Amino acid sequence: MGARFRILAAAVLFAAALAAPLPAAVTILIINADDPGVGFNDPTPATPIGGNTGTTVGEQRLQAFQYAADLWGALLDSNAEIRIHAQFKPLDCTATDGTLGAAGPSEMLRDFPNAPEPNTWYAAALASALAGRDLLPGTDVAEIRAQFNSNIGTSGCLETDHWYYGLDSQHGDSIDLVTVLLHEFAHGLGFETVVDPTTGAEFMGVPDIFEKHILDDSTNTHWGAMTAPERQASTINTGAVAMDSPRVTAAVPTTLRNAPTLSITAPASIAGDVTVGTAAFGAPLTTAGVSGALVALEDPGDAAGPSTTDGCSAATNASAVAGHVALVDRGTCSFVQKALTAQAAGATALVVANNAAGTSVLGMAGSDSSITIVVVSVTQADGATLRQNLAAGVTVNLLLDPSRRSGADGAGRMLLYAPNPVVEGSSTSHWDTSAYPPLLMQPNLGSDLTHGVDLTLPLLQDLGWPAAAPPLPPGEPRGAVDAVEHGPEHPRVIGPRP
Amino acid sequence: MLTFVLALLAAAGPAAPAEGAAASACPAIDPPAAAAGAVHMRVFVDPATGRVREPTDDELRAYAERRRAARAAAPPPVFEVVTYPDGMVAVDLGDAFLFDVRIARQPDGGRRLECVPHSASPAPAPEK
Repeated sequence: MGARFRILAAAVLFAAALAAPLPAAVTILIINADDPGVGFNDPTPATPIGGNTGTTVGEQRLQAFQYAADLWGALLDSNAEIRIHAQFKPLDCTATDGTLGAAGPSEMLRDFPNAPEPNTWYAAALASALAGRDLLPGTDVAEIRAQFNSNIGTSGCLETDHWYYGLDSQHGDSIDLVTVLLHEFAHGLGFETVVDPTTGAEFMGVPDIFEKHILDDSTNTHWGAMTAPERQASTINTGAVAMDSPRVTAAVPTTLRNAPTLSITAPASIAGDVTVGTAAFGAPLTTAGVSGALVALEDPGDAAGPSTTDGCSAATNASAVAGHVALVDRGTCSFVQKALTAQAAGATALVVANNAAGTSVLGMAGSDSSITIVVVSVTQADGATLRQNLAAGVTVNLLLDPSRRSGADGAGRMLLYAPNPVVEGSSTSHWDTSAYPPLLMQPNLGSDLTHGVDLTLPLLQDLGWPAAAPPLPPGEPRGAVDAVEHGPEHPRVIGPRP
Repeated sequence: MLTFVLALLAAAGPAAPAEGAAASACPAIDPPAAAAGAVHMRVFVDPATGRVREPTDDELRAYAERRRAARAAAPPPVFEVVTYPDGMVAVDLGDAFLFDVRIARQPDGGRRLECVPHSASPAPAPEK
């Protein structure tokens, strides 16, 4: 049976959004689809934690769902109830990896009453919000589907990991269910395109509203105006696939920091700026930057690392490296070890070139407080270019470029995740991984995310979601519902599946 | 009264995720060797030591076979399309456009969360 929840104000976590008068909110109904005794109905006793007052595992799961739904519900506005068909059940899992959960829109609608754009797919919840009423009536018809893994932390399933059901972000080493739910619910609310990224084909030959906002910077063409092959090519145009969303663009300067950049100042033939990945250790990049000649660090090909360019052993050319920016290749040993090697050789900074093809830059994990130099990564292709030109004398500056924001294009538009090769489904339905600080809708959910919705809310607004926030100035494209058309009821007929 | 103009079933849908479509971007595989190129950044842990290591040939074969079998067992997506009297069209997506949040242990002991397209492949473990 379904459990019904009314939306409550989301309190201090959304103080900024709540500062403005709230015209309304949206009611979210969690349909508990679990059988008795399992999932949301698991009777195992549990101690209340982090504001979650449930006294059984099932109750705590349900309260966490309700809380995440409440957070979104307080920010959006709709006369139509949103129903989420929810289950907590065993999903794919092994000792070392597994699925935490899955969610998305259950239906796509087009040409509904008051649709802002004809012949365009909208996620069901968004469509009902724009229509001003429930387009899919029925107590068991859901706009969003969600299923989460009940086996996490049990025998054979990531035994050292555990869900955190608290509502206060104090999850420590556990997995914060509310954060994962906020991310997944956003997909269900419409933060995704249903274009097939491997072919560029639109879903049933019809564009979706998310897709229509995607802009290829290289051709200055929106996806909605492209052919399928053009979209296919754009899907892997890393660093040049942006979201044309006025509200997001307006929020970028206050949300993201300056872009980590490797600026090549010589030789002139390769001069220019290269986007870099940053490290979780070492000195932070600054706007002034660290500049110097780039020198390839050489080390023995030994048990620590078979390559003489991997930086896994002590440098054999420390005298050449000292006082300069070192270049090594990714592979074999940890990023921390490479940094230690470069630092011991006297390098002022380190550039790690990826050893795998791909167009997105790597962030580098690890920790060692003894590392005091700046460490950045470049793509394999950029690394090859640098290495090929070393004989000509390469000089670089590693800096935070004040003219660009991380994760945004030159015009300040937010970039979408567009790796090459394509990652089906994930490509172009998330923010680019170069954005920093971490965003809710990046494909790699950061463990340090709190319960904010950062750029997700303005994007949903530009997709058409009426929000519990001040409206856009007149003339802004897309968005607000000006009138509600009260057409005939839409009977829904469920035909048999073959 | 239930009225509808047309209900048709369409099999046009997204292809199943390709085996080779691994996430090459994204942060921080440290060291990278074990997970590079692996679907869903899967890593392998030596049960004796608990440490991440290169998978054995048998482990790789078993993993690949598991995914192949699961894909073969999954029917192609079939979408139910309903057209209403006023022209509204609704498509039941089923699970075709769900996003999975997956977790994988990293070689340095940390973990990585990643949002990827829903995979029909996994055979759910039994309830515990």
